[in-house]
Amino acid sequence: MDILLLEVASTLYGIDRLCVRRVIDPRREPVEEEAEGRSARYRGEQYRLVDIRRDLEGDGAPAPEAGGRSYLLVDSEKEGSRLRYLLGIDGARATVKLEGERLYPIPPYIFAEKTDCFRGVFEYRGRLQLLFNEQCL
Amino acid sequence: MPSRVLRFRVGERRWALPMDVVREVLELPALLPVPGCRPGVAGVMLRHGMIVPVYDLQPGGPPPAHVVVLDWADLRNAIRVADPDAKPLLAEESAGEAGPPCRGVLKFQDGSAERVDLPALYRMLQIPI
Repeated sequence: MDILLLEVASTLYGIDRLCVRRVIDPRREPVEEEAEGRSARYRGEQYRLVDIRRDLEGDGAPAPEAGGRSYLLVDSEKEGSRLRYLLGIDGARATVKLEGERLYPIPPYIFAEKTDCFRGVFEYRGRLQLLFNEQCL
Repeated sequence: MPSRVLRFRVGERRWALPMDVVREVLELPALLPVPGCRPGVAGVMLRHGMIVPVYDLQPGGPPPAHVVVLDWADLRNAIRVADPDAKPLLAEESAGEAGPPCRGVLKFQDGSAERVDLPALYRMLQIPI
């Protein structure tokens, strides 16, 4: 499994590289977010916008660091339905290979509400990182 | 009846756990914070190929320097503690009152400790049993 390492609020996370159709640099390709920040227009199409920073840290989350943020165009499937959305991130860092058995599940009872945001935990350069579940963001 | 327990400190209180639920005692490792967790979950750690949730029994205070890994009710969890005794201690029941999540007091040669009531502890931490 290939994992794209991405950064949000100075923390590294991973997402399955296969579901990432494109990494968008808004300085080169405009992404117009609507005022509520729940959707955005990219290349003439309207997409649901997933703001990881806000979802993880709440509405009081600090703004992205200088240099702005990037977006991932995520294309996945859930229960037979196609999922396409834009994922706002602070930056995409690298693609790394992960062997399946090195993804460790998280006990669901530790979560307050939504239990399926993460597929599990993996190790990268000796540190633990969270792998997003692209079907449930 | 005397029993073997692990004794440690949580804030100003001294608690004791039966040794048969203690898998290991570790110096506090690096924890991975997980967004969206219940209050009290300090993070998770990887131990022997398994993700183990680590609970903070006194959120907001200075983080204790050790974790006690518990195997109980078919679940593996860990709690942050201070000053765990290096060796299991022989304890005897003693009269006295204990605050939640403890029930009963154990007596040692050098003092006493509250006996942790595991179902009450897990209920407090919202761990399903």
